[in-house]
Amino acid sequence: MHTSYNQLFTKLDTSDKTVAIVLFAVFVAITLGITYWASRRTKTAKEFYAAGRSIKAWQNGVAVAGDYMSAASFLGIAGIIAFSGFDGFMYSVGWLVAYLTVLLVVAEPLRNGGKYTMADILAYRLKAKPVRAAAAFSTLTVSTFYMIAQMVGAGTLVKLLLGWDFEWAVITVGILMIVYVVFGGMLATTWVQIVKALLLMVGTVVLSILVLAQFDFNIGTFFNEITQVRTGALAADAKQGDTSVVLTQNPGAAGTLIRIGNVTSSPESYNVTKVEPKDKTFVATLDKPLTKNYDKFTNAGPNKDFLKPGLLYKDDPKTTPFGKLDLISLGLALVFGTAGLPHILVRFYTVPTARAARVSVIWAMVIIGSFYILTTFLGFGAALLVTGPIITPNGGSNMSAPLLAQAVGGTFFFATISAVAFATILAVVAGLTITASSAIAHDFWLNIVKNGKESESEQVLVARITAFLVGAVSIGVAIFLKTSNVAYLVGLAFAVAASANLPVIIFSLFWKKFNTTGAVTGIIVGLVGSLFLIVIGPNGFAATNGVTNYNDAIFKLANPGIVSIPLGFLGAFVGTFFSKEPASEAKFPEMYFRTSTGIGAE
Amino acid sequence: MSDVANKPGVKVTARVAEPELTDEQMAKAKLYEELEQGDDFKQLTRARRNFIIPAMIIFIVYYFGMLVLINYLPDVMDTRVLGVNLAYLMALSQFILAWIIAFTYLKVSTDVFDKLVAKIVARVKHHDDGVADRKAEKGGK
Repeated sequence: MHTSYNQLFTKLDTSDKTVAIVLFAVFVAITLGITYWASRRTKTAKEFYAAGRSIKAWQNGVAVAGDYMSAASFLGIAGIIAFSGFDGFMYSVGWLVAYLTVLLVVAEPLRNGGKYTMADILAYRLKAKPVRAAAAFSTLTVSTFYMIAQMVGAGTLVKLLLGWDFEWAVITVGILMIVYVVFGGMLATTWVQIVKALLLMVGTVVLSILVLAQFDFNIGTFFNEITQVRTGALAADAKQGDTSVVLTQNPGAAGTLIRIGNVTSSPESYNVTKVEPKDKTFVATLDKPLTKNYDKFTNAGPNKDFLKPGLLYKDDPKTTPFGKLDLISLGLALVFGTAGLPHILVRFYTVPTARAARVSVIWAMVIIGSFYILTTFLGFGAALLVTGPIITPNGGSNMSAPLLAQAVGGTFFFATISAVAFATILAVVAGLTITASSAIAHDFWLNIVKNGKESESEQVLVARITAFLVGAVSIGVAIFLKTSNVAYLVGLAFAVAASANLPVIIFSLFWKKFNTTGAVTGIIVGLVGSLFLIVIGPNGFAATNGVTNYNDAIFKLANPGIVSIPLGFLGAFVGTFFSKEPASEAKFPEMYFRTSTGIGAE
Repeated sequence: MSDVANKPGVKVTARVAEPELTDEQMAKAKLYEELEQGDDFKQLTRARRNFIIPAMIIFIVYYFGMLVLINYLPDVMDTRVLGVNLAYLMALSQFILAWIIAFTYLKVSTDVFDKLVAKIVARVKHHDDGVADRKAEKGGK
């Protein structure tokens, strides 16, 4: 099967756009139906925030997976592997093993000790007002960054696919997520996640099978090709007998061996004798005439081993002086950030018992793990079958997976995968909206402003209003920040979650002496510390137009976790010694007993 | 702030002198400390700790061990094995290990932890006549 890569430079034509719009409309119709059904079952605060704790373990597991497999996972990881090879796969590994922290440390005690929000578990024995205020603030920060990243991703995707304006795409996503959450609460959000997770898994499995089909289902051939990825393509047609070719990338010095030909058409090797830049392309003179005709965009260039570690995270004094340390730092944020992500934590309140919470993490780990293993075929597949030089002018690395779908399955499949990606984003933003609104309505409004006294119907009304406001503000901010780098914003969310949230959750659950001062200082130090390090880092002020810049950055790591996570723990630890809180210590045995046994849990 | 008072197992009642605690708070702390003195609860805490701490250490060491190996021995990690390289195999093995730990935890928690919890719940319901539950209705909200 020989794919015509010329197609990749053309946008979807009208009939393909129609396919994408119809598929997306079907998803919207189904999810709105779910929302209508859920709205009639969402009357009390417990129903709005926690779906009445009626979600089954497997359902919650699929929904957790749906919440987690965001645009950053599906579009982002495929892109980073397509451009940086094996190192990109480290995201996949880190994001799965992170669930062991969730499973072993936080899920069950949280379910036993809390009601609706992350702050509940802190407020169990600490002074409610200050810790709820601090936790609500960090929840809002994490969720907002995460949400804006998703919305910017959605806007870019729709703009590329359908040619809509970025603003209209963001407004459409925003209105839908507001409708799901305001009317259907957590029940609708959960089922939107479940539908999306199933769609995403099916799409990913089919895409992986189609990729393998290109290699006659021989995994050995596939991996062998990964070790010799052509890093460029022909920028013009070449004819049999030609002794020079026009390349998209600089092949390097004279004497370099280049290979020409797509993966499936037995590439041939030539030596480059001379290279001359011309416009934005490179004319390479070859040591012998071409033996056959090649179309424009045929893979061509020196081999690069994409299976070799260190293509992205390497110590290079010019570009990434501390690249290796950055990999460790990234790993820390991934492994410890997940257990501090408020939108994941609140999912455990939707199931009836701690045992159901535990089983749902296992379900999530099976689904998420399988998905991340398949990113091998998505990412490396895009590197081999689409190639970087084709992906870059067609929307950049985030478009790797949809472009791969087009290369192996044609434009119909391209439209399908794009609709799945859009559904993915929509489900994730709904989960984030309900989390952010519960932090405002439950922690801030009900427990701080109203001292916990408000009627059930008023609570639900306030929750719906805040969900609307959170959605509306996010639409505005996403439009304002449309040029920002998606991966940077998600990285920020993970770094803040690991540095500000996880230390105080762990200390409040397991350290008797921990007190309110410690919790507040821990959250503030972790939050401010990670934000500050990102701002002065290579993705902060130093970056121009979203391009990472290590040279002008004051702090040389793109991932601040290795500094900010210990800072968060230290802040919480040291802060504890600034005050004495006998009441908090006296309540520890009760909390410990109850979170361990589930006695008295709601 | 005496060091003795911080040691686990030392009762909060040792801090009677501190004025901030009300009688009710102290009574409640005492009640739960007594509940935690039960053999079944101690067994539960020990069993959980004996599983969770080693499991966390194993996965953290194995995961960061891989990152360190990739960083500092890239050529060794690029050794070809089974048609791929050591680095990719080790990355895949992270998924397998995570699943093994997760399913082992599920089994141990079902066979051991949940049974102990059931025993504790029965004991609390029987001996304390639901005191803990009623207290919580007032407290935890």
